[in-house]
Amino acid sequence: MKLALFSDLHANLHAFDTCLAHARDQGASSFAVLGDLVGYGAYPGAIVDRCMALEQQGAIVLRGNHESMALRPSGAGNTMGGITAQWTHEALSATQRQWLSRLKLEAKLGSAWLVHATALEPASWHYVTDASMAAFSLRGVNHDRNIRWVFCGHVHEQALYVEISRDKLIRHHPLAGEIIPAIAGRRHLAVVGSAGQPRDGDPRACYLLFDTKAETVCFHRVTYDYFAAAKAIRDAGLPEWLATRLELGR
Amino acid sequence: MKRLKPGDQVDQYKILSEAHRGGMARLYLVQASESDSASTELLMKVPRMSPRDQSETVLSFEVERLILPRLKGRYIPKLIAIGELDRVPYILMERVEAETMADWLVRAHAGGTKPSLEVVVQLGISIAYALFSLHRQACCHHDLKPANVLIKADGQVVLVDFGLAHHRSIPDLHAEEMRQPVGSPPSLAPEQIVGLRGDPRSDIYALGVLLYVMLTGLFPFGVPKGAVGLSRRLWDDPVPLRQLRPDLPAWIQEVIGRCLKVQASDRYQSAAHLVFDLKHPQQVRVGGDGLQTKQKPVWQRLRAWFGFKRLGYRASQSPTQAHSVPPIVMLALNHADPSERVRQLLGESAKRAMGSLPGARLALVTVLLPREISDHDDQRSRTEQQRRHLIMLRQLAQQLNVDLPMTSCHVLEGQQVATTLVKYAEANHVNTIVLGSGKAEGRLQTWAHSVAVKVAMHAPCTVVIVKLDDKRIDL
Repeated sequence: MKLALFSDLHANLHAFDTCLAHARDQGASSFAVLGDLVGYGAYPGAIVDRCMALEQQGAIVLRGNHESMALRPSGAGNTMGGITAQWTHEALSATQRQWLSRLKLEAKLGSAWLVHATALEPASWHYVTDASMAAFSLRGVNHDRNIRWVFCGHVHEQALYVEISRDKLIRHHPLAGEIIPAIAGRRHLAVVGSAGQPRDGDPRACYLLFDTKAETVCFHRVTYDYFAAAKAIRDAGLPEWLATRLELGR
Repeated sequence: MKRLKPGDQVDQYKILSEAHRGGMARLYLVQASESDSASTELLMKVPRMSPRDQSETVLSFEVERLILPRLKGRYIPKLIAIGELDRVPYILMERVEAETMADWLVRAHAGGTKPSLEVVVQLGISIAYALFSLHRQACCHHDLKPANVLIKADGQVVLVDFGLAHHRSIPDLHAEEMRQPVGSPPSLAPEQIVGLRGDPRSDIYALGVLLYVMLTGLFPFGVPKGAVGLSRRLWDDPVPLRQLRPDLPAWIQEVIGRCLKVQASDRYQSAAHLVFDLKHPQQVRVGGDGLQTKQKPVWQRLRAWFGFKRLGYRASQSPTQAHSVPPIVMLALNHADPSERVRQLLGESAKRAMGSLPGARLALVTVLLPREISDHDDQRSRTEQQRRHLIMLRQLAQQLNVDLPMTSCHVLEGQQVATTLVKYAEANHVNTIVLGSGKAEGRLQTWAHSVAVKVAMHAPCTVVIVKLDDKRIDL
């Protein structure tokens, strides 16, 4: 089975639709969304509808920190996320908000553990930015010896970590489109990357394809119409930087 | 893994005898059971470890069993089967009828004899081809030493033992930080000593070591035991080849010296370049390095040592790291430029510049001056101007038919065009600036010469000025 994993969609409908189509072309038959469906982008409602439909077809949809922010905007924040949380809150219908509020923080699927941030303390929204944080996250699945994979988002850059020994991991910088085999007997943590707001200087959307039978992963980068996504952000009156960064991939 | 005895059965293979006992693995001669023909003799490599062991041995075995199936070509042993780690771990390969370079060295230098230059050069070419083949498959061997080079009767080589190898698409299990360097001390490249992996030029260094030892019987920096001995190659030169063998020509010393450069960026950048020099000695330009027949005087070596102590050693950027920051070509356009033809011409120049920089990104840039912006006039408001110019840049980007994700458009603001362009190029590590200059058909087609000259003078990178004068012949 090929499982397509998406994260940090950030209300970018152009990116998500393109990624979904790409994943289906690649033979993906099941889907998972690892949180941060909304925030920053111009299409929170449409993205939530897409994800609701996917969930009805059996997809796993998890909650990210931006769901929490959009459900209860603090109003005070002066970060980009804070500013858009209020806007997002108002752009969502009551039904959509209610559905978002039911989303879970984590899920298990065969040998894989799915979470937005870290498997340990998932509600604290820690960032897996290096091997030591990846080791921290893996501690969250120590209780289940069948778990060989942790998939997460939250950090927008794609990365693969492999456990060498307890609490010691190495980081691999994946190339787009290359099939990476699992290392037998070891645990892996993959950051699937952001579909809706890539930040590594390459504006192409990120997602990951996990072949559960062959035990391989493939980090994909997909070109989409980011000029259109940026225009929608400008038209919605959201901060200019949110539009520009999509065009730059920053 | 316990020792196997003749007659033992592993999967469908029968152990015939133990062929070699190494520090990390044992090699057994085996036979596929259903066949009795002696021609199907195979070699089974079994790591010396227990399955729960976390040592180097386990990592090396895992690396080899991940990398070998990905490699092709006649320079590596043909892989037959792999035994899983949780049962009997092994790698089953074809048996190569060959002698190791270690044995070859003993034979070639027996009784004080020295092998001829021609023989060594032929072997060098063969190994360089093998490396070139590996490097093209995104793999670095990283453990090139006499025991890992098999020499066949026809002079062709096969490289074995990929336990320390690095492959671009496979997580590097040896990449753990703050660890002892892994590999064979005599042939470790300087950057490997400080823990850098994945640079193909490290293998070229190791080949330099092999050429040196084949000709002289000595390793250029001996067989160091500790960290101090290892670090000598970070600052010192080896004893010149021709001090040990005055019969050798200068060119081969030049070539080997180039392989052994401390900085990877000073070495041959590709094994294919090394092959070229080995095949065309008359083309090798011999400089000071090749002519040395004595080691540098003590005071010069001391100075190098003090320099190393003071400044330390900084490895040059490995090609993969360099690629992670893609080169940027910046096309600077005057938005007031009246002619689409001129824009197209400039765009084509930028595309040509990108063609010479693999993976290059294109940044289309224009500059908005204060006098072009008005606080009162809606048509001349800052946002309106920004928007109009962005559209112009994007249209051009589309017309140029370059890969759009690799393209970005920017409207800069500044007091002066040239200064603003140069500042942007500095801040964004631009590799090449392309801009037009001059008058044609009686009007200013793009920026004045003065802008182009200033940019060319102060830019931190290459500047391509496309002349757009009536005088230009092809316009």
